[in-house]
Amino acid sequence: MIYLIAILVIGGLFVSLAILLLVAERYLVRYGPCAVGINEGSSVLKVQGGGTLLAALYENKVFIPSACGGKGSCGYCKVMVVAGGGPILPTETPFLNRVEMRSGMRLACQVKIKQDMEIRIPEDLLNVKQYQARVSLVRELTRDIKEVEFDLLDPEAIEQRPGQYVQIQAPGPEGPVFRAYSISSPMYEKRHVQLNVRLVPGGIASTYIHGLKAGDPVVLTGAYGEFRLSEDPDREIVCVGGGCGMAPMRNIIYSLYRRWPDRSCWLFFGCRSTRDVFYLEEYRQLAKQHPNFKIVYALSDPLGPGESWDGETGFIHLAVDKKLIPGINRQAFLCGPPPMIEAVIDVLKSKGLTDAAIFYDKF
Amino acid sequence: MAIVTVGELMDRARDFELRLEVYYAEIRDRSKDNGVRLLTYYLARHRRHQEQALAGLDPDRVGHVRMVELKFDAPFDLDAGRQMPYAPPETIQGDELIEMAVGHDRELVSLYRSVLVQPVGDDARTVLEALIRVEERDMVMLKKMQAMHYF
Repeated sequence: MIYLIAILVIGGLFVSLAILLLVAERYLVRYGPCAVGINEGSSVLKVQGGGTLLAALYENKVFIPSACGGKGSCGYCKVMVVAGGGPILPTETPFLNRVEMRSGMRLACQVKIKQDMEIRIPEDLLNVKQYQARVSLVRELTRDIKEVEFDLLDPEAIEQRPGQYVQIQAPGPEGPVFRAYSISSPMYEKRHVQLNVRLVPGGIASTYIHGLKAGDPVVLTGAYGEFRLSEDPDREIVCVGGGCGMAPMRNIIYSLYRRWPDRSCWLFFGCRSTRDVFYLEEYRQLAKQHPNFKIVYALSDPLGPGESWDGETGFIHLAVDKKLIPGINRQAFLCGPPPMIEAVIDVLKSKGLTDAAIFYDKF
Repeated sequence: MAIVTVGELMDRARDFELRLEVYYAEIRDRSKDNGVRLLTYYLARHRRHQEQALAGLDPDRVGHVRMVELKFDAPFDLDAGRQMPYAPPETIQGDELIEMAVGHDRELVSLYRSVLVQPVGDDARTVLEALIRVEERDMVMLKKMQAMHYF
């Protein structure tokens, strides 16, 4: 009995101390106004100290990617803190390698602003905007993938590169969550954004998006992403998607043919069965206008009774291996599950592509 | 009772990871299912989570943490993951494999947590939390793959 009382007393003391510290930090510690310099003084934000860097940037309309809403569990919100960030926290170390740590990379959601700071972020991120949008179209592509289109209301237009993504804000049980979705509409369609969203059982954002109907308001930020289409018209483009990794490919293909109608481009798409095939007919029509556009769909499951299929079978990396001859100047874009991406990268390297020529998005 | 250090437990976990590499490679070689082969090819290449977690930490600090003595040994069966009631390598399905891999991650998380409840000091906590986070990230990724029904 005496042990139980001792544990309760000591435990109670610790809890009281922790509460006291939190209250003291909340109400007594005032860091006052602080300056956050961005990219060597290209802009300086005046913010109230005490909050996180991610929140301060967000309030000042600098939208750093973050999928977890600042909980330190996604590792997306990396920024380089040149001065004033304090020591790296244990919550950050799993997301940073040693080179990143040495260079001052931090997770913006974990860094508290307690003094003036200097940070560096990619210039692209300074162009990211938050959009008020409205659902204009919802179309079922497969049993679990929907095409959803948003009209942009404020601002009314988006600048994006093929292969970039937006973050959709979805209501979660503990506040809003943000999830990244690649833009499937081409870059020249600036007034709306189209996505392909697969319903993930229990997924907060995909369930929310699948429940949307025309006219519903949505908040999104973008465009984010490192994909960069080669400007060399003689360079062949290889797009490889798997599962629901079609969206960036669609954007790349349409944007590409608007600018270079004769450019050589392969689209490889892997899915399990004929029930998962989408956009094939649309691409066949496009290929009639652009003879250098080659389409390869592959099914990985055996055909069911009564099913017919005249395309490839097996996993998509096998089709890539079969169709591409080595030694051609190419750039590749991949989107799909990690095992697929790694298998395709191995194949592409065997065909002579270097790391710098391969962009990928593992989801 | 022999004194156990954090380093010894980390070595057990590393041995477990290395055994899993071999185990997945064995399934890859014996399965006739292309999806399972693709998945195990990936899994066999990505089991060295400890190496990944420690790569971001100062080696001197890790070395110091390895010497920390524990008050209690943490029970951990190296074969625990492999003795799960799953189908034999020739007939195992992608879903089962992912479940198995999640189970392995969970085993390691539970090992690290059993050390965390002991008075090991701040540096050791940092290292163990980093190890736990890598396992948890892998679990999230595996569950996402499972939900996508690609394999």
